[in-house]
Amino acid sequence: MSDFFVRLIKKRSLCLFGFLFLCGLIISTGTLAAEKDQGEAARIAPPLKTLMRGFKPADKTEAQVLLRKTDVYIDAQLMSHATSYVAVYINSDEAVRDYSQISVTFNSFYEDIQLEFAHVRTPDGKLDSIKADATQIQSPTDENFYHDRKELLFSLPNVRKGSVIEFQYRYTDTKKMVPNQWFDSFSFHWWEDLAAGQGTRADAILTSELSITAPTSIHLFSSDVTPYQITQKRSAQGQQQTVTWTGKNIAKIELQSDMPREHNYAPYLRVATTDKWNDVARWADGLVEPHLLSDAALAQIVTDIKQTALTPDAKVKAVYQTIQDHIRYVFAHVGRGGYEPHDTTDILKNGYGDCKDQTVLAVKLLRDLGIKADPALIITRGRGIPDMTIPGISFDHMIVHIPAQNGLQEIWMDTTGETSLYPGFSVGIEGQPALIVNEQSKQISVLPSQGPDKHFAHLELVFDKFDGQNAQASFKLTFGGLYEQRLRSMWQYSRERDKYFRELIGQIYNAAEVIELNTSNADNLWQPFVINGRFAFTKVWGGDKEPINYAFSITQLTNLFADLRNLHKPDDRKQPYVNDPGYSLQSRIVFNSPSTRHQLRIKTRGVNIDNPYYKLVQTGTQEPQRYIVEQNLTLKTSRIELANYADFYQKTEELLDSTDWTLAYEYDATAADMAALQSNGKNDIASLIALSKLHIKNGDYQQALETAQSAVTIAPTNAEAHYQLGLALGYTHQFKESDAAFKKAEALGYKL
Amino acid sequence: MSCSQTVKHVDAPLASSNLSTASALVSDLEQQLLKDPNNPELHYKLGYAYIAQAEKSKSAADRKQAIREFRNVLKLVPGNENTLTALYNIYYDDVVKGDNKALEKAKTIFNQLSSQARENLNPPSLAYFLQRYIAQKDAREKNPNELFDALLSATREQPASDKAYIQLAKMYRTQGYYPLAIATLKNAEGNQVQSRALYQNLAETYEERAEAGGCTYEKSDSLYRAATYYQKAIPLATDKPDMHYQLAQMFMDNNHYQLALNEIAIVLELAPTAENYGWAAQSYSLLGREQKAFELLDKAKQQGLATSDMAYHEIYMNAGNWMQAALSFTEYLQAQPQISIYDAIKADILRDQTELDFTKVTSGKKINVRNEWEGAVYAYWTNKINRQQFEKTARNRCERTEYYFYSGYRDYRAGNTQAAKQLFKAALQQNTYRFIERPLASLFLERD
Repeated sequence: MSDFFVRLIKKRSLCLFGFLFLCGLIISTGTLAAEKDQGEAARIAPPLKTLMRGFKPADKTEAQVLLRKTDVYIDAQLMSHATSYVAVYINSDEAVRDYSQISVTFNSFYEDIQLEFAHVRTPDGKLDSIKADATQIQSPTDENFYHDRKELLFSLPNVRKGSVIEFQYRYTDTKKMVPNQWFDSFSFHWWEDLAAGQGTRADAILTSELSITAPTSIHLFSSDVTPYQITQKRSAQGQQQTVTWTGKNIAKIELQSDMPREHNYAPYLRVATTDKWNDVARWADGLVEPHLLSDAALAQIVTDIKQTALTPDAKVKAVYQTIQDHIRYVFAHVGRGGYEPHDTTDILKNGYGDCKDQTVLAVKLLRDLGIKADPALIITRGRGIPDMTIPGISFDHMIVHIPAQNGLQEIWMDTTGETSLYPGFSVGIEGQPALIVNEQSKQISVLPSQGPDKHFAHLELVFDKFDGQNAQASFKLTFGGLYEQRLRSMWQYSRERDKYFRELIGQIYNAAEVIELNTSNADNLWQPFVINGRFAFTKVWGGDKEPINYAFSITQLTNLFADLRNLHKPDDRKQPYVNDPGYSLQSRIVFNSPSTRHQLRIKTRGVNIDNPYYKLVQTGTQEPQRYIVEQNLTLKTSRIELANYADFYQKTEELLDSTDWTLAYEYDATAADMAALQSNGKNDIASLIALSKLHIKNGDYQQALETAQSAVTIAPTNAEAHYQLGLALGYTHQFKESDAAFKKAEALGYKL
Repeated sequence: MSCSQTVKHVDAPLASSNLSTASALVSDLEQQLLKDPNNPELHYKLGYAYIAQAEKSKSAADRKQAIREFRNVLKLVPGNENTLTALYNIYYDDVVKGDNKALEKAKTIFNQLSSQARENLNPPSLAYFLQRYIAQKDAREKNPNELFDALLSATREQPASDKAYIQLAKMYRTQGYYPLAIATLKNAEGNQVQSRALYQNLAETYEERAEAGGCTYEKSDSLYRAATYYQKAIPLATDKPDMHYQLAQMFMDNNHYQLALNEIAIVLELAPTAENYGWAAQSYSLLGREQKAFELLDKAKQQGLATSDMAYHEIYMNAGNWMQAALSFTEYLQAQPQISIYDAIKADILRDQTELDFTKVTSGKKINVRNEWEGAVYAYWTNKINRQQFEKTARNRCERTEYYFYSGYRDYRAGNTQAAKQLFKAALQQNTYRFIERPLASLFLERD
């Protein structure tokens, strides 16, 4: 699943640029070569020597942030001027690698940032400064994205184990994003990119401090930081107020896979000049409404839809199809700031647009068709779920919201997926915060979550061809929810997709080769994506009169569609574990008999499991000449706190180690004989004796007894019948009767 | 469909090891796995290293780790038989130790093994049988049906192996269900099981069944079949003197004395011990081959057969060498803490023939009467019951052999020679070939 999310996040995260983390850094070419003794800016932090006084690196720590300090000044026009300082003690080769290069992204449309100084204090006490030729500003070159995002990279000299790095930068608002309002958010950790794009790290920090100074006429609203043991102080001097938040000895954050999406794993603060989401909604509405324009081409589309789509539902679908048919996804917003869409008429004319553009065009068409619709700002899953008690501009996506109205249920429609099934509602936004954009909108909505039954992969496998020592099975994979989106997307974007999918599906049966593979509905936005084909098994049985062994385990599905084998061991897990959304993996396996002469022998049956994390229901049904196994594994939506993680890990191990279905169709002369004997009727003494023997051989002692009793009844002087009866009585613990039967057998001439 | 990939054979790395080397091996293999995490051979070796460590440390965690490593191998090389076998052995042990959850796991693994691999293993229900057997023993409970069922399951899991059948038959035998025990062993035979142990058990069961009736000679069919199965067992283990010994006894009981003597010769060839020479000498003596009997008795003596052994005086008695018999009998009596009724009767007969008195040797020694029949014999010999009462007590050929001989001897001693001869003849006609009364009856018959 992880690569799926990565794909989704990468695309969506570039759609809007509203997030304002204080880690942005820019350096102007004029200040790159700033020397510490040539007009270096005033420090907001004490001298490094003072910071280092009494400092002893903690055991086994890779790096420690000595101080992270930010001073923000908000002027009367609500423009901010901020200075940030960071000092980090480097104590490992990994930290040397990660902190040697610092990367910062920023939106050059709204911000201007200057590096004021950057130094390295080497282990032998020498101070070295950043070199002019070790910095670079670059624009990311993502396909179909044209924007104001920039990235600064700079390398610090002589970073070694035992070094301390320090840098200070200053950024200034150059344009207001939201007139008459100011928003910001602040992480008390310093989040440093890992080398080679392997994520980020947030090391332990001794002191982290944020001060905001603003005119006393401005009311500052801030989120609650008391859960993080961050202290807050307020002071006023003249016409200025200052609020300071300070955290001491903040622990390192270990980011792990499948963490909760809520941001509360790390101290985090949001500050704004309003506590009303309506202010944000009205601002966004003000950006959208002027661009909802119509012209002849757009009106013609509306007319065409009206002629063919007669119901509200049909009209919505027609709009979705129109966007898919006419508007290619392109993000073209250089010099626009990232939040304002293009005119709907231009979007239609250009034939491309990003999420905002597609959304406003869809909204315009829907409204012209008489259907109420608004844009909705979304925070996608890649951004997690911030504390939304204080308004902020941290949205990164826009979709269409169609409220419930006459003839329609509420619909959240996302047209940007290109390949997503109508209405394009993907797992990437499921359960995430949304702000509906109109003048009345006053609160954050939560996008609906779909149950595990909606996110599924279903395998139908039929062993249907036997030839010599070889066999074949046809398969059909159908999907829902995240699997539908993931597999469809993989099919559309994979290079050498046929080869790739053969290898992928081949993982279900390692010993088999996928000899045929077809897909259906890959480009059909109204029908689920389907994969079917055939497995070929070579030399899997002796053929003819030999047994054929079948096996299937639920792990053959989990290995392909879940990532349960790579869970952290309980000792290594530092964060709660979240499975969200829940999903289900289903199979229906038809094991056919290779011939009518083969008899079924079930060796082991899969077990059913029901615990707080998993529900596995398995059934096996015998039908003439075939056995059908059906499995339904539900991986429940769950949040597992650390205290319960070991239990979850153990239950997962138990699931993965649970019993396989193993069965065989064996060419069984005994069974064939039994079938023949049973058909001989109840009065054939030889058949009854033979049948009783076969029952004993198969362990069916009660049936053996009943058959032997029938034999003795119809042939009371048959010695072998009494012998057989003695055996069956003995094996059903009737020993006296058994002895008597054996005696009778001997008396009648049986040589025991 | 079997999802097995190509099975790769990897050898177990540890036959024996001490804890420190096992721990060192574990950590070495774990280091290697960090570099090569998908190497099945390393996982396999690590599994065995954990087992070695668990054997020393008795740690359940080590066993769990071993299971985990073997399962890792199976993920990489599904169906690998060596790994399945290793895993099976762990679960088998766990079942024996009382872990019933492991039983299903053991069964699952067992079923995944090829029939060839299964042949070399005990079936899972045999582990369960052992567990229940031990538990019942510890709790002093008796629930044989539970044990029977476990063994029956084991026979089905591994129908081509003799172990469960034999154990089941032995238990039936212990309970006295001889026909059921025989039928069970024959089921195994019907399933193409051919083993020395199976045939030997069949022979022993037939022999025991014959003995259970009180007189083996009344079950000549069983004796014959016992002989037949000993003959089937011997080719599968030709160097086992005990089976030749048993077969010799069966041949004797069936009056196939030439065959018996051949088996006796083989026993002496395989195990020329003092006891075997003594037994061989007695056998020859019973058949009236006195010279050979004395030769063998000499060899027995040379090999160290104690002069107090019963063989000496019985062989001398059978040969009519009464004085030697009396001397040997004295030594024999001196070695006995208590005496049987037959010893008391022998003392009387030897006193009659030698006029030697054994009272000094027998006085103070308790006479051991083992059953009702022996009580009747001794009562008649000491005039507590009359001949008619004694006759009525004799219910089978074995008892009648003794009745005819001892009542005949009473007539013989009283001088009623003709009546005595009739009774001695009647004793011989019972065809109880290994009874000492036969050679004695023959001896007295030859006298005037």
